[in-house]
Amino acid sequence: MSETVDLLVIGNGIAGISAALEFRRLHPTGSVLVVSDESSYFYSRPALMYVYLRTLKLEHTYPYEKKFWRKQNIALKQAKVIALHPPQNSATLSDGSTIHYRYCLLATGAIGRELNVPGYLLAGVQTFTNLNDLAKLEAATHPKKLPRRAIIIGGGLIGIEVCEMLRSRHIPVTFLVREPWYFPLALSETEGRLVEEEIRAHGAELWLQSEAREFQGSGKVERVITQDGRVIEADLVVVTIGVTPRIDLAQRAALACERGILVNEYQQTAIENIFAAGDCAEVPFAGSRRLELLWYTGERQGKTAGANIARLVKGEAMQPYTRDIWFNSAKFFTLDWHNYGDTNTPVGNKREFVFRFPGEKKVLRLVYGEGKILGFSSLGLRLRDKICRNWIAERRSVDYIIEHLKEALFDPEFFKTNLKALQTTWAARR
Amino acid sequence: MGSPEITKGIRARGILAWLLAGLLVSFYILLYWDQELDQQIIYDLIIDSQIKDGDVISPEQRQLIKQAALTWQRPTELLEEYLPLVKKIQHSITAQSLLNYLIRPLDGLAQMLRGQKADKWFLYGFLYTALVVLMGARFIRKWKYEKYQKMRTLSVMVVQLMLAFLLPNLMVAAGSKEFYFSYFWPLKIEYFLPSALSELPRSLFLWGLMMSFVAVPVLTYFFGKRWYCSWVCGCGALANTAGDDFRHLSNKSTLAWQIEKITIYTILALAVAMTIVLFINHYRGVRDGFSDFAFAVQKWYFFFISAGFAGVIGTGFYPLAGTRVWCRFGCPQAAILGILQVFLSRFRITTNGGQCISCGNCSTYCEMGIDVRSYAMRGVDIKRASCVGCGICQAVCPRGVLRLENRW
Ligand SMILES: Cc1cc2nc3c(=O)[nH]c(=O)nc-3n(C[C@H](O)[C@H](O)[C@H](O)COP(=O)(O)OP(=O)(O)OC[C@H]3O[C@@H](n4cnc5c(N)ncnc54)[C@H](O)[C@@H]3O)c2cc1C
Ligand code: SF4
Ligand code: SF4
Ligand code: SF4
Repeated sequence: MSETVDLLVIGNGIAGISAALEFRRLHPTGSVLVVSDESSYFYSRPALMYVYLRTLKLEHTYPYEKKFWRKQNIALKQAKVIALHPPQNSATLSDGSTIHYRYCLLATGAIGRELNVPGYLLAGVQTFTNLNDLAKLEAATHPKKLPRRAIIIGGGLIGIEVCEMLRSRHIPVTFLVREPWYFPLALSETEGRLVEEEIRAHGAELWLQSEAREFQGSGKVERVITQDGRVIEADLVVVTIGVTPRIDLAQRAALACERGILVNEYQQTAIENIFAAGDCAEVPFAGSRRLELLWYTGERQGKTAGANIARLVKGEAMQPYTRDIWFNSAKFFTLDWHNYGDTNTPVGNKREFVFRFPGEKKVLRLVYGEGKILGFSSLGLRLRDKICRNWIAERRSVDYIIEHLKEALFDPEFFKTNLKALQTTWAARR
Repeated sequence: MGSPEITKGIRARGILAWLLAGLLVSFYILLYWDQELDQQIIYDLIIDSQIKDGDVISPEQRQLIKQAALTWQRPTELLEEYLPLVKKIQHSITAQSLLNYLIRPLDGLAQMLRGQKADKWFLYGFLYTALVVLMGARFIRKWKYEKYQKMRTLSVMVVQLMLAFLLPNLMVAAGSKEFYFSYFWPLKIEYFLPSALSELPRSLFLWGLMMSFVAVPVLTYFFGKRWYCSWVCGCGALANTAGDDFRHLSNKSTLAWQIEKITIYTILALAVAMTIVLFINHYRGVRDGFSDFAFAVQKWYFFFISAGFAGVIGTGFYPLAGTRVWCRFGCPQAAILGILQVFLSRFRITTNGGQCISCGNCSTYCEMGIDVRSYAMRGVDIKRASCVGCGICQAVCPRGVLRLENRW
């Protein structure tokens, strides 16, 4: 069986779907096929934890109604692409069919990174990034047969979600984090400590500066040995040390790859009619390259790719991927975290003002250079996207911001934040 | 509604949900059908079946017997010999009226508040208020970190207890007609019908008018529909307290949205038309075909809309179709508040730029079936007629994307 389409999208995550929709918007008649192996419909990957928590069913995480795809005239297929043949402009699917394409987008995403220690392949050791992992975790933590203890390895954004999930079933958890405080990649020590309080308040054991050296067990994991020789008995290990782009398909098709599939500023690979976007793509950045492993970057990259493909089909010029001011958000148990602009640990003549509100689970951190704001990080309180990004773009002074901070708060009505305390501390500091 | 999407949604509910819905619907039907038992006809039938041939009962005596059976009090003029008959009527009513078993224990309370024995409406008000207060306390515990939820729940609990339960009963005790300060036309449609002119004290009539035509637009301008639907109204109160566990069952399909737009404005049109017809009839002041028509409209409106839709379906279907079926598809007050909210209000739900991760918590837990996510994903503010401003979307969003606000 063989079929020809204008655009073949591999992967129905946020990147692939954004590309398909943007292509459809700009090119109402072109044929689009989205092939994905994981699920038949586009679902929200960051919502996986809510399916485990039973607050959502998988269906609730589908951002579009099923009939939407028919209306958009976007064909969906659940299958794995097992080979890509650039010279023939075709792809071979796991169901035996062949798809001929004019353009192809690789949006294959990423999977949990493996931990290179003995015993990693034992049963009971897993990652948490997709539906397959979710099913494994469900089986391993069935309410009728809970593990004696679970160990989470790696303190990032996914690790703490897994911690919340496992604690929701009252499973004893030991959380091994390599760094001196929680998530120094994005959080200051003050913020990290607050997150640690939160983890411990929810009943997990948190071991900082701890790494796993070995997993032991006969056939199934039974214990973990740490670098400093401590032994923890456990029947479940969840490794959350980051993700690895899925580039095997691209590599076999001889596309240039480093950590991800290399693309130019138009999301185009070295082969003119093959594009890549999302977690699997390595994009040019400030004279170098980087992976952008976020939901909204996946959406932006996907949109750029879809639009550029539509433009090529119509004989128009492509437009580059543009970045706005960086932002991100997360939730650490009950703590909201909002983040705008450059909030990296300041070096050189950059500075930061970190304020923990007395007696509250709230921290606000402002990063600035030469008195001008560069970035905001708020933990336990919400900040208004538009105001924060405007202030960064307008290079407002920190004095101005501290004075007008009220405008930037995005907490629900009736929430009180003791801005006075923050303002006096800032004034005293100067 | 034969649409596969909707029936599938309902069938997905478990057997327990169906049983509970059955129970609730039966309760409502009993409540309304039981009204028939109050009807004089039933009494007459019993009296007729009980008197022996040859006995004659004068219309006055008949009236006394009925009164005695109804009020459970013995008028002094009633002859001793008719007591067995009164008892018979009462027994047969009791046997027929399951509700009586629930009503009688409340006699003491009713006597205290209302200065009368309890009736089924007292029972209903009592159960309703108890549910709102008890389940409201539970709701407040559940959302102890969300001040908005705590405040508005406290508000509906107080309104229900004070304005919708204690005060109307105390008014009766004080010899006045009972009046609900928290409801007005067109939800409480009888407060602005010709009958209100004669039955209500002028001051209360004017209060109702003021609420309907001044307070509603003004408060909605400042705060949106929520000031009423999530802070005052008893229907919203029950939905958000006792109904909390069912809120996610609301249908989210665009089809349901289309249906909602048709039904809710149709019912508003009906309510307005009925009001006009009744007033025309009132000022014509003659009894003819037109007046028969006007009263028939009124009767069927009360039967189908007020009792059938708002009561039986609105509450009985909680476990099957979520808590706001009436609020979303039927309530004429909601229709007015909704139009004001969209075209003449400072209220909106602001979405926080691109922070949405499309998880679906907001849409799933929106009791009005609004696909909040579809707006949040695009980063556009939400101004929807049906939004009751319950704020749950804002509370369940794990990325702090949504904020209810009255923007100045
Ligand atoms: C638990 C978790 C929580 C997260 N939370 C956040 C968050 O809060 N905020 C945030 O910004 N980001 C978050 N992320 C990251 C975010 O989900 C990803 O950046 C985003 O989903 C990437 O989208 P994508 O379209 O590039 O890839 P994916 O969503 O991974 O989609 C790729 C799809 O392609 C399929 N595929 C791969 N190869 C093939 C093949 N050969 N044939 C067919 N199909 C194939 C895969 O099975 C997959 O379904 C989270 C990730 C995880 C795992
Ligand atoms: S929609 Fe109608 S019944 Fe529901 S809360 Fe609002 S006014 Fe009350
Ligand atoms: S949109 Fe939000 S505030 Fe409005 S009704 Fe739905 S959940 Fe409540
Ligand atoms: S709950 Fe928040 S993050 Fe989730 S879909 Fe709604 S707005 Fe987006």
